[in-house]
Amino acid sequence: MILGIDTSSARTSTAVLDADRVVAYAEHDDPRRHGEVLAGLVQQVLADAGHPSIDRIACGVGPGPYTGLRVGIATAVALGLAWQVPVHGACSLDARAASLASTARTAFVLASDARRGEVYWAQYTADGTRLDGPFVCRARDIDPDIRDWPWSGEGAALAGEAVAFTGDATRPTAVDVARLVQRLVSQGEPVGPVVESLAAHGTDDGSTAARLAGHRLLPPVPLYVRRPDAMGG
Amino acid sequence: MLGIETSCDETGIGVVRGRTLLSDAVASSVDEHARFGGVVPEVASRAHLEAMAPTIERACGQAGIRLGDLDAIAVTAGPGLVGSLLVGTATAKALALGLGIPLYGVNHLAGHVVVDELEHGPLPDGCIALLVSGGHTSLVLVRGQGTDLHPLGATLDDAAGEAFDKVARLLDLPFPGGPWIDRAAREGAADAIDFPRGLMIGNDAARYPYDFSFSGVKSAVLRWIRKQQSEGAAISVPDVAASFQEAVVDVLTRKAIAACRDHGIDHLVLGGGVAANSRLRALAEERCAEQGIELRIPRPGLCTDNGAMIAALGAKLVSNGMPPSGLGFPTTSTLALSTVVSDEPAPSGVSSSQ
Repeated sequence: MILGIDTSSARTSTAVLDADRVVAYAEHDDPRRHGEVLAGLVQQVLADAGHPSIDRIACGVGPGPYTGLRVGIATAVALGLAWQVPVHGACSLDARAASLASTARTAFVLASDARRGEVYWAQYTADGTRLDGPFVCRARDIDPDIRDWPWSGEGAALAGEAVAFTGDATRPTAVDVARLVQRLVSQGEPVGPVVESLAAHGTDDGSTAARLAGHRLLPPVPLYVRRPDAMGG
Repeated sequence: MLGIETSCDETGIGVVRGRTLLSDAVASSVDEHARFGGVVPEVASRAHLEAMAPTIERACGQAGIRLGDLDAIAVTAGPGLVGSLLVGTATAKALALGLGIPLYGVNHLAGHVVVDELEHGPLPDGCIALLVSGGHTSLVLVRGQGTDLHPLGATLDDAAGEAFDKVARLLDLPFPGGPWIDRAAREGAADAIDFPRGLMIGNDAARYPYDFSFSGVKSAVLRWIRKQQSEGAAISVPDVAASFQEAVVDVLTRKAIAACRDHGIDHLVLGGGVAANSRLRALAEERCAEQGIELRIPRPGLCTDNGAMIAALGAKLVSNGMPPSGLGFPTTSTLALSTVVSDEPAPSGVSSSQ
């Protein structure tokens, strides 16, 4: 069985899956309480699933607001230490895109809320394979050709008129992440690199997208996309 | 008992058995903050997450234990930088859940007091603690052998360690400033310049007997340096460092001794990073000896932030039969000093579906 965790948005979610089947799921929506609720939610899904033996942990590594994102990854890594099981990461947008791909007919853009009027976004083929990204910026600063693609995700809904929103504003969940990781592991996909944020102070220079190209199974390390703001942002 | 401390820029993991220290592993991000001249919260939070798993493994290795051998976990719940604290509390909650052992969310400052028991044995039932670091300057009345804390006073502006950092910057000394000022001061005269002592005289002293203010002395140093510069006079870094340091430690020790005397207590415990300052240690020893007060100071490595102090406090709570915290407690930048175990019922509004 696999335990999934995602804290890349205001939603804290966790799930136990048996192969592709969801055995237990719990979520809580609050942008500021990931640290308070996550351990209790994990306890709950383990109990709901009948205290199964977990042999793998899958964690969404963002991009997402940093503080909540770190709570999910720290939790996954510590559970992996306690249970002595492998912990894998996946880009949370990739995970959601893989779930959306069953209904997508064309290539699309998926975006999440980066707060302060910005979005995290990446471009996908119709079958959910990442073409480019993730990036972070204001939606209206994106190339107009890309803004005309069909856009999904919470970030697309927040971007308003700036992009061609399809109406699907769903956030990534632990189920999306666990399913993608499960699939990549069973396909024998190698684990990608630790992506450091080499971009200049407080900006995104595209280096995360470049380093992530071709990699989907990731180490449990946050995709910060940009360097820390010295003012603490 | 495993202790996890991440309230500022040090990732500290310690293991204790009762009052016996088994290991104390610390990873610091201080070098990454040096170029900013102070701790940058986001930089600290990133470093904590990166250092966490390796530091836990190092602490267990040094203690010769496996995680499965642990009986309980303690973690700093506050006060401190929230983003940093959250990396520690998320890790601690997951370890406690994964290992099926109790978790204690504890107060950072109480850890600075109780850590002295690892070196010097049980604390007496009553003592005064002077806790001084880059983030705190507090006088605390400690009862219940270290678990029952009553704040007497604290800084009204800068923490003492913060004042050291800022004055070091004025003198072109590196960050963190404390050790550099300490070193420079050894070559200087403590009475070369008469810098002001905050809240020590008149109405201020009567109104704030156990509180501190260090922004005045910091500004006085700045004014003095500017005046010397405008007059083209030489600035002796050792003399400024020694005189500034003397002004700070004079106030710290005088107020700590007064707190002991006023409460009829004959034990003083020093803790926090500034307790590593050699002049503070010397002056506290001298003044405590004069007053017949027993002074207890942990070795410098246990004065700065570390996981062993949190483990020591957790072990004490277990032996006192305190109930564990559960998994839902919040982290807070302003945890009340008297709060030792934070506990909150499970959050409402949790939804669950298949």
